[in-house]
Amino acid sequence: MKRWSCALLRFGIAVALLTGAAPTAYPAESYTFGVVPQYDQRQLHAIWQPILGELRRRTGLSFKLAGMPTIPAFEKELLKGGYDFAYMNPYHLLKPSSSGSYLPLVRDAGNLRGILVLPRESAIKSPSELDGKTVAFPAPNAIGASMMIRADLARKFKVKVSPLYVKTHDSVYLHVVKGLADAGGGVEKTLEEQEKPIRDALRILYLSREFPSHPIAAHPKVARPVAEKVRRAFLEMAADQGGQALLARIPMKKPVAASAQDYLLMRKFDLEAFWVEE
Amino acid sequence: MSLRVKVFLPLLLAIVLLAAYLYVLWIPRVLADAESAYRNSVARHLESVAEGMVPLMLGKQLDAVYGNLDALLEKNADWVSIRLFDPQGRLLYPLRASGPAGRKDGPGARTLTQEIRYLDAKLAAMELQVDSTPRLKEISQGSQALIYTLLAVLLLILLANGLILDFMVRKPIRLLADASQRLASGDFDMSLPKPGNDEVGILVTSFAGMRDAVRTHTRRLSEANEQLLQEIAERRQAEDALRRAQEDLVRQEKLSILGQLSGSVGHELRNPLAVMSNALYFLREVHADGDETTKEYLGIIGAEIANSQRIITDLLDFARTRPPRKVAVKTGELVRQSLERCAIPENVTVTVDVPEEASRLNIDPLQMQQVLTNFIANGVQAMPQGGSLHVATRLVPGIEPGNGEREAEIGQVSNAGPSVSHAGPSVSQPESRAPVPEKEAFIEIRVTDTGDGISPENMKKLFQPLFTTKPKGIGLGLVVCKNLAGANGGRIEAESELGKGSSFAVLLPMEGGDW
Repeated sequence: MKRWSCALLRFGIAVALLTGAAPTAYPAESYTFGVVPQYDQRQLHAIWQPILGELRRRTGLSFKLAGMPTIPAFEKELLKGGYDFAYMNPYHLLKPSSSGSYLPLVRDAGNLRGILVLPRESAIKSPSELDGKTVAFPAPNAIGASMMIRADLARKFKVKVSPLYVKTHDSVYLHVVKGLADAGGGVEKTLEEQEKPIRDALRILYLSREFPSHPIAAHPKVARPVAEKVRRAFLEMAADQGGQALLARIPMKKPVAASAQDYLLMRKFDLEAFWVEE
Repeated sequence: MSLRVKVFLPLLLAIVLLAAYLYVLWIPRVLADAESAYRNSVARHLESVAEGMVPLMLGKQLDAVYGNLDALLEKNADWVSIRLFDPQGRLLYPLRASGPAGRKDGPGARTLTQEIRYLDAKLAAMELQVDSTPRLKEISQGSQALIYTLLAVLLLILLANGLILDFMVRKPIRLLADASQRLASGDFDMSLPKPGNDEVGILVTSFAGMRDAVRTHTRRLSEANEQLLQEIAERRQAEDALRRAQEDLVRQEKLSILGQLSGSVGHELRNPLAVMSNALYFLREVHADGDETTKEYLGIIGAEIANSQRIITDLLDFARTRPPRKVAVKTGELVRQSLERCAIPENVTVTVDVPEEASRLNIDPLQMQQVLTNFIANGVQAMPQGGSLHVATRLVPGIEPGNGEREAEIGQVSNAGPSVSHAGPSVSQPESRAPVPEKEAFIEIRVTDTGDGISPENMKKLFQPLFTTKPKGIGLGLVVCKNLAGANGGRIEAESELGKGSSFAVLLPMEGGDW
């Protein structure tokens, strides 16, 4: 009996050693990847999981999509440096953080502009007519769709509107189409992505100033070579047709390398007064 | 009505009734229950959707609402449309109000409404239109398939039971019925089905027992019947023998009396006839020159005296047959002398076919001349209008011991045999046979005429005493011939064909070798 016990123990040790020594099929390094929830979670996962899978194939690194149901929750996590990599609002790069500012890696070559949309049949001709009206915004701190528009409405057109925060750009457009809001704030890119009936039902009343697109950024805690590897992977994805199709769904039609310098001009917009702590 | 119909007609009717019940009552009830369950299920689903919509409506996430409702419509094919209204009645979903084409008013179309509430506040109202027609159709088709399968299985079971019934009941019963018919016709060797352990097996066993009992009783009855028939036959034979003996006795007695009377009368009449014959002779001498009428009358008297003498001679020959004095006689000589004794009319042609080297006979020549003279006289009398008379002889070889075929030839020298045939006119009548010595050769002397022949009825009586068809005969000639032939070791055969003629033959023993 004793002999059998010893043999079993030796076999167990051998199996444990072999298992430990065997090369694992999964990358040892794993990074969290946060995405600002511009869309509902299902759509967000449908867009980003294939991209992270392709990224893993190209870099050999492992990424975990860290979903957040709301933009405020995302922002809180971002300020804490909770994500190793993140696709974020451009203004998020400018927000001071105790954990260190994120470093932009890539962005879309095209710039963004905030828009103010109305029902196509609306009689309003100028933003100045929106005084007292209900205007839908995705979130208070959405840079193009909310902060830039609210800033221009207040400073440039001197009107005071009743903001209605409806979480996403899609929701803004639906609210306007359905008459639940008199106008809505969005960006050109997201409007172009709407279905034709929605686009046909809306018209753009106002365009804001340009600013760089949403960046994919890395937290300072991520090793520089790793961050560079990720940047190269994104740029390489843009070079082939499959990668382009994946990135176009972000939307990021033409990725280019990004730097913090690209976003410094936004400090001149002086939008801090329109930042809302949630 | 056959057993199969009796057994399976009720079952078939039951299956038809079952099918009718399933079609008329069961399927509609199943469909109603399914529709009710489906409606309840959709209502519960809609409640769950409404619960899920609460945070979205509170968060004003209209795009998420759209996404959810689009997904629900995509995943639930029987959900025709969803409409979402805010508390003010404004249509939130879908993007555009669906027109009449988007709505269905079919038999399975139902509209369900569900409010989306949070605490006491009404956030929105959902209006769902569902069409359960495809699902109900699917259930109906499934139910029909189930019914068809059930009916097919029942029919298969019915068919299988039919085959089992055929094999286990009908076939043995048919075999028993056949066996009964064969049993009724007296055939006891029929094959019976192997008895099983069921009622049919008991019936087969009982039938086999009955068959054996009937066979035993029938065999006993047959044996008793055969014994009875044998006894009856024996008794009949005894009665026949007794009757024949009595008849023979009576006949012998009559013949004895007849013989005595004939002898006495013949003896007494011979002398007066002799006197009359002498007187006639003298009258002819006296009236030698008499007229023709006288001569004619004298001739008539002479003929009648000769006829009477012949009758008396027959009577005397019948009364007592003289023992033959046998000598060796040439057959041809016997035939020639016999023909010379007979008066042959001119219209009768006589032909003789007797070989020169014909054998000799060991007989009494006078007695045999009397026999042949009788044959020739009968033949001439049978041809009053003329004809031909043929006399022929032939050798009949002797009988080898054990040669049955040869014996048969001797026994039936005539080709027709002793029987009387109504289909054909030819009749033969062999006279009673005398014992024929073995290895003894015979000479047959046959006299054949071309007269009218003798009828079958008369052929049977031909050798009976006192039977005659002649107006002047007394019916003793052939009887005397038979007695004479028998006394000389021979016998007589007679054949006749009505309308063609008759043939009489006497078979006589040969004397030594050929001459």
